[in-house]
Amino acid sequence: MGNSENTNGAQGKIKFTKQIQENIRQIKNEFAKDQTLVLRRLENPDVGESYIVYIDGMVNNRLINQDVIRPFLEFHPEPHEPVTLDVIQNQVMLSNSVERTSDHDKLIQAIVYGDTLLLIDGIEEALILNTKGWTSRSISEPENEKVLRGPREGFTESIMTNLSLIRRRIRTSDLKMEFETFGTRTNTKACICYLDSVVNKDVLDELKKRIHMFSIDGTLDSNYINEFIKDSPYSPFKTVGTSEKPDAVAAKILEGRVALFVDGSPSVITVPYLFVENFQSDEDYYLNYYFASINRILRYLAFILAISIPAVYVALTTFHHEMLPLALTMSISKARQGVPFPTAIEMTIMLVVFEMLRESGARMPGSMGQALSIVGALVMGQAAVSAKIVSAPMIIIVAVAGICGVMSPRIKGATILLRFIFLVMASFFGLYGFMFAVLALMIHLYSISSFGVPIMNSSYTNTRQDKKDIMVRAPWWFMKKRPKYLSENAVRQKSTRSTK
Amino acid sequence: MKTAKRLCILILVMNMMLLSGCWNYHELEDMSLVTGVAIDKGINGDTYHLTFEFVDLTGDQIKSKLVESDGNTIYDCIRNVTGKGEKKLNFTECKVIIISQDLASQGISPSLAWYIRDHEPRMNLNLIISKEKTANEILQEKPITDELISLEIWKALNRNVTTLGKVPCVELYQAINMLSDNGISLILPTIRIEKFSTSTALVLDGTALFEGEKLFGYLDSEKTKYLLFIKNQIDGGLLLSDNDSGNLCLEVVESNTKLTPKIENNEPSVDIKIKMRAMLSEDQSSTDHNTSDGIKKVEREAEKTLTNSISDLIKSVQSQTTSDIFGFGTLFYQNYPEYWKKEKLKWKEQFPKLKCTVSASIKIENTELLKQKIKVGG
Repeated sequence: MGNSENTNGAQGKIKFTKQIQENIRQIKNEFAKDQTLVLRRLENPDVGESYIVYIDGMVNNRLINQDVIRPFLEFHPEPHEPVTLDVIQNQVMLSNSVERTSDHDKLIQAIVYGDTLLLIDGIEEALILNTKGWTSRSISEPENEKVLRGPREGFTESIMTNLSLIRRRIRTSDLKMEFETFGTRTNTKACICYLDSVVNKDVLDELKKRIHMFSIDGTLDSNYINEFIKDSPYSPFKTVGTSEKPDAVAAKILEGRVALFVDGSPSVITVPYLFVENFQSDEDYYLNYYFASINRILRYLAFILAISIPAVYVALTTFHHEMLPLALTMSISKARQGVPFPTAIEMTIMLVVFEMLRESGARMPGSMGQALSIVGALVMGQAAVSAKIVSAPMIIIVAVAGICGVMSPRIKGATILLRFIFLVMASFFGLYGFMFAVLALMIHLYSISSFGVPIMNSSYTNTRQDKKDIMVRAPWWFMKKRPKYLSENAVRQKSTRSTK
Repeated sequence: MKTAKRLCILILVMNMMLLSGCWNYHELEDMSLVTGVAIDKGINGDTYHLTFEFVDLTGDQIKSKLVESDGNTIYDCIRNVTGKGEKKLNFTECKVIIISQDLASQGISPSLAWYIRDHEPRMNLNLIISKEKTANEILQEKPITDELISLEIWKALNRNVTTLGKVPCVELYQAINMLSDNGISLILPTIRIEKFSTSTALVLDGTALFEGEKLFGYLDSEKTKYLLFIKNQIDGGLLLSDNDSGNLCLEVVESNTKLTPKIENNEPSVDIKIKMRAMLSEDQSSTDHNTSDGIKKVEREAEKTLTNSISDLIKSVQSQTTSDIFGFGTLFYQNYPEYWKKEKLKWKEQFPKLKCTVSASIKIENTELLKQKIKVGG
């Protein structure tokens, strides 16, 4: 993890001796000024002076009482038997995971992660006992990935819970989970998860290479890692996916993608991330494929409208009047009588105002929702039009762009940015500038890739298997192959629908 | 080095945008949308007197507004409008140009030059000749169904193609093609004002015939229909056929005219074959035609009416003018280019001598909702 610098105190490393008091002093030194550290002295005459060390609040107290303290105090070996650490580890402790070590880093890590240390007089090593027990949020439906049909479980902030949610869905030893640690100070646990026989090894190696290439002091959310490992870091388009839904991540792992779980973050990273994933909802696969396909086509259409409709409106009304039907020209022209700003400025103002409304709506306390919608709908819409500050068609255009923009939440950021770029181009150069921007966008989209897989994968070839999950969602019995380049094991299922 | 390269690319890309084509930023409300223009001869020493009808955006409703201006050229007139406190005129939505017959008989092409040269007017706007004294009078009329009179004329012209078939619909580019072609002469629709006891109305009325670029005569609307049959421009409309016992009316479902030019012994001739599908829509005769024999009889009679009318039309045109309004010359150009090369300049002499054979085959597909004639007292 690039963990070259020693960040754990300046006292130097703990070096256990046979004197327990010396060992305790070293630990106290290491955790000086940390008053949550608990040192509990245990006295078993048959074993000798012992201490357990843990941090209050990180441990399950009942586990310590029942599985550590009680068996330890009740342990009375036969007089001729020597008391070794092996005996304590294997015969006395009831904890499910017991490890012996004298390594400084391991000891510190164990204490801060909710394990309990058992130190015994005369022994140079300590036992690490698994007593982790902190409260975490229970499994609930993620707020921003709600579905009408399908599993409603969502990831929590606890990595072990999250891994169990995946394991429960993919019950095979083929599912591999490899732990990593991120953050020189936070020492955040992370886990790479994939199906060994399905995953594209090049992608896996690339991911492993990239996560070892950077150093950061803390990773509080998966996005910290996301930005370090993503391809085309300056592109507004995602090349690394995130999801809060175990079913979605499990489906991606089944397609050959690699998932990266980060402790403390409910969003799980999946790579590679294709452009079409912006428009694929997990619900698509749980609903009838006709309905799912319609929804998906609508999402594409909405994306195109969201980025281009303000630009096209400005271009048509200020550069290419002849392209509008006469009746439309007349009504727009009529609505614009007395409006003080030029169309392009008016559009920019309205779009900025809409983005402000959206952003304030996203994070404001629920009780203010009504006030905001009144201000947004009445003041911004109706009053602005009747006061002739903006024209009515403008409100319609901005509303359409706004509604379409939130239809595919995964590509929201890119949508807003592109909308403004297109608008500026159209305001200065008309449709010519707009087409220029569209071309630039296409060149950009087709030039970027995610972990070696082009993000526009499968959009430039023309076989039916490639097209099955792009614009439409084909029926499950048609999905015989995994998406191209994602997997070394292309055949997903040899499915044939049972027919009478 | 890399920065220099990037800068170069940026400059090139910027040039591609900045040095391209002709575009400009114009707000919609800063211009007046012209929907129709009437071109008259100038009054006070000026060559032209133009009347523009445009959309009036002041007030609550969309209204028509006229502005007149004089000048020595068309563009001169257009720009002179700006001096009268009006907004800049925009011609992208201009639908019709009405030309007065005075001006048309002097030559039509100078008045059209600007409309094809400038980028704003569309090539598919409709040309029309005013049979009134001036074209201005037409625009002065009050519209009945639309807000703007020029839109009403434009819609009537285009509706006429599928429902009436009594007026040709000629767009600017077609007129220009006809003007510059040796093998076809220009025809344009005409419009006049019909006066009733209390009101007036605009009527589309037949065809204006040109010799070169000069107007020389008119065809009435009934004859125009047969002209359109020859030109294969009938897409609907009615065909009246005389019967011994009364009038019969057929509605054209589909009509197809095939013109075959022939040259025998260096004598050109044209074979006109009309194939038509129709419905029997009205039967005012005393006999019942709703039997298979009756229908056949109607078909034969209608065919006779059609062939006779067309032959008569061709003969009368040939006797009156040397101007090939049917476009037969184009047929020879297309089918006998060698012959056309020799005869091109002499076509005016050839046209009145051209032999035409007309044949028609009409198929009546149905008699609409009626199976039998109305029986009176029976």
